[in-house]
Amino acid sequence: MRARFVVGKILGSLATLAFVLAVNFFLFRVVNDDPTGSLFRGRNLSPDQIQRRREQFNLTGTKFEQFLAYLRQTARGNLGDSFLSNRPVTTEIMEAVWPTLLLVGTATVLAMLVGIPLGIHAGWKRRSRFDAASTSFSMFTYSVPDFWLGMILLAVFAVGLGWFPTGGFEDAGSNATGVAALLDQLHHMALPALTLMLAYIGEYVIVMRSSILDTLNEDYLQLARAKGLRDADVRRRHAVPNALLPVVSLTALNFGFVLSGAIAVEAIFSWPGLGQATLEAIRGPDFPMLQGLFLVFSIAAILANLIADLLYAHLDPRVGGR
Amino acid sequence: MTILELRDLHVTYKSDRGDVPAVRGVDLAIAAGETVGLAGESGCGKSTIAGAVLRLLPRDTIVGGQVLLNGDDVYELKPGRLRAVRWTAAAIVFQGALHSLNPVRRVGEQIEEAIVLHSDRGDAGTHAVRDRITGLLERVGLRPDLARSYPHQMSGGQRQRVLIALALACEPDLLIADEPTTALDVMVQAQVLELLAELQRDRGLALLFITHDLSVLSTTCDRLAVMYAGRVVEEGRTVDLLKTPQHPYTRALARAFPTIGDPRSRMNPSGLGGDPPDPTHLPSGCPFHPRCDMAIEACATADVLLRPIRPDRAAACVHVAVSA
Ligand SMILES: Nc1ncnc2c1ncn2[C@@H]1O[C@H](COP(=O)(O)OP(=O)(O)OP(=O)(O)O)[C@@H](O)[C@H]1O
Ligand SMILES: [Mg+2]
Repeated sequence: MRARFVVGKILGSLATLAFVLAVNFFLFRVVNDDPTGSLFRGRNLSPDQIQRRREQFNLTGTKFEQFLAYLRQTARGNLGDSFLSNRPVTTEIMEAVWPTLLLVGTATVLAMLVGIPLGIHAGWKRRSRFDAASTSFSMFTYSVPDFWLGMILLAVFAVGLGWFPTGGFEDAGSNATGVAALLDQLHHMALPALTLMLAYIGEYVIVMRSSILDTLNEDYLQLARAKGLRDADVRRRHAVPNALLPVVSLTALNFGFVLSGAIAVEAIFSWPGLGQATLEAIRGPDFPMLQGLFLVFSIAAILANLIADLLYAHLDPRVGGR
Repeated sequence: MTILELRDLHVTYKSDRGDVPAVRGVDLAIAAGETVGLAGESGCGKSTIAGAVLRLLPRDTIVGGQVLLNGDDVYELKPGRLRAVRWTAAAIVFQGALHSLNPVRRVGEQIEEAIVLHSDRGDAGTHAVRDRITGLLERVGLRPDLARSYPHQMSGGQRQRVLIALALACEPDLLIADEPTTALDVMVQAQVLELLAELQRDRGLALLFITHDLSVLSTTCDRLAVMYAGRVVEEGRTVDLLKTPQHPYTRALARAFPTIGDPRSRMNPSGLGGDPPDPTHLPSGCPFHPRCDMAIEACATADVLLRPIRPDRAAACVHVAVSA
């Protein structure tokens, strides 16, 4: 990969980020020019106090001044204060990031680890019974909504059989530490993680399978077979490295949705992550919080895109000017 | 010694449109050190024969007759034996150098893979193997450092040479070169032809040279077989066959000769009207009769098989008198 290619991709990402910052600022001003009116209606605040709130939430001065102030603050990592809790948005988001990252990250990695090999086998032995089974399973989990899956699992395994807790991140009032705390968290995470994994796995199976199918008629597989390689080696050394390329991009891109992707499932399992935080902020409406969340989601997506591009160029010698 | 012998080879592909009888009874023998040219228009079954020799055709393909490589019937071999025979008894320079190399692996690795697979001592990355790759690349006229390149970084001619080097990696008894010059411009075409002729002389390997361009074969081959619609319609020693073509189809092909390098004459041999027949809808009788300027009534009904004319010479046409 040439340095020019890498620098170009990074500059592109920065340009996207600048665009996102601008949209993020102006979009919320368009939605609601001065939210203090609706927010503090019915509360006995003096004009003086309201003015102080305006300053706190960066609502004074012209739009342009507000934008510059917003950029300055954001650059310093200050995303303003939440309307609802009055605490810094940055703190609120930081607290919710870890549970989401843990839940969705685990589900994504598991879905990949299971889905990609399934897809490879199904594609390589296409029209076999294995292919038929794995493809219909994937089509099913891919097409049903994740909240529906979540509610079924919740009804059966938590409410019905009682094997798992019905929600939350850990037992209330528990002061367990170390391994015990970890086990408790895993116990809570099992059902939401399984839900998400089932929701994601179909995509990996289907994409990997069709990618393998695309390589089946390639001349270089014919050549590899002619050399005298075993069928398994033809697959492993020649088909898979080529077929993985689109899946690698898909995977990297999916990580862009790790933070924002689990809103419904977090709500069903009362998982204290960014998804829940988003729902609450929408209900508020808590504009600084929403603004902060959208910024974080956008940055995750931009980063994932960048990583996808660089990874692809690293894996495919034809890309990236080598 | 006979390296390759095809006995009444039939190949029928299974496809959505139904069965495709691509090869319909071909007999062919190649001795050690001999170069045989296989010519014919697009779709007549040349590449199918190449694939059949190493049992590379799609699994549902029906193959009849026998393919003997060094006396062993390829279709009777156990999987392990078959893999051992591939690339050592016969190797193929596949048609379409552009796509035959794996785009994400360095060309050196792809040569190394074949060497390591078929030698009991050679381990990947050892000096012996690296020297061997260097030797192979030099032999086909490439700089050894090109081993570290990816296929897309090479020109068409370079890739064609890599494919030849790759085919020589395990010192096969038979080299099947499927249209090795078709995609190349005239200069490079001449160089590759020269290279193949040299290799053939130096190593005494048997060479099956496949092309739809008769002019390419005239200088390289000892014997020629001309195919039409899945069958050999004429065969003989090169000079003899080109000088006195017996089958009207061979005559049409030979008329295009010797305009070497004229792409028009290569694609459509002079004055031969019409398209090659669709193997799923072959004409009745002699499959060539709708395009034949010598066709008589009998041609529409009588399907003539190869008739020996004299030793080393045969043609499949009603006008050919059978010799005693
Ligand atoms: N996998 C396949 N399935 C069905 N039909 C096939 C398949 N491969 C080849 N054929 C058909 O078999 C016939 C012979 O094909 P083949 O590739 O052997 O021709 P060829 O003589 O090598 O032609 P060319 O000069 O274009 O390379 C053609 O009609 C082709 O359409
Ligand atoms: Mg061909």
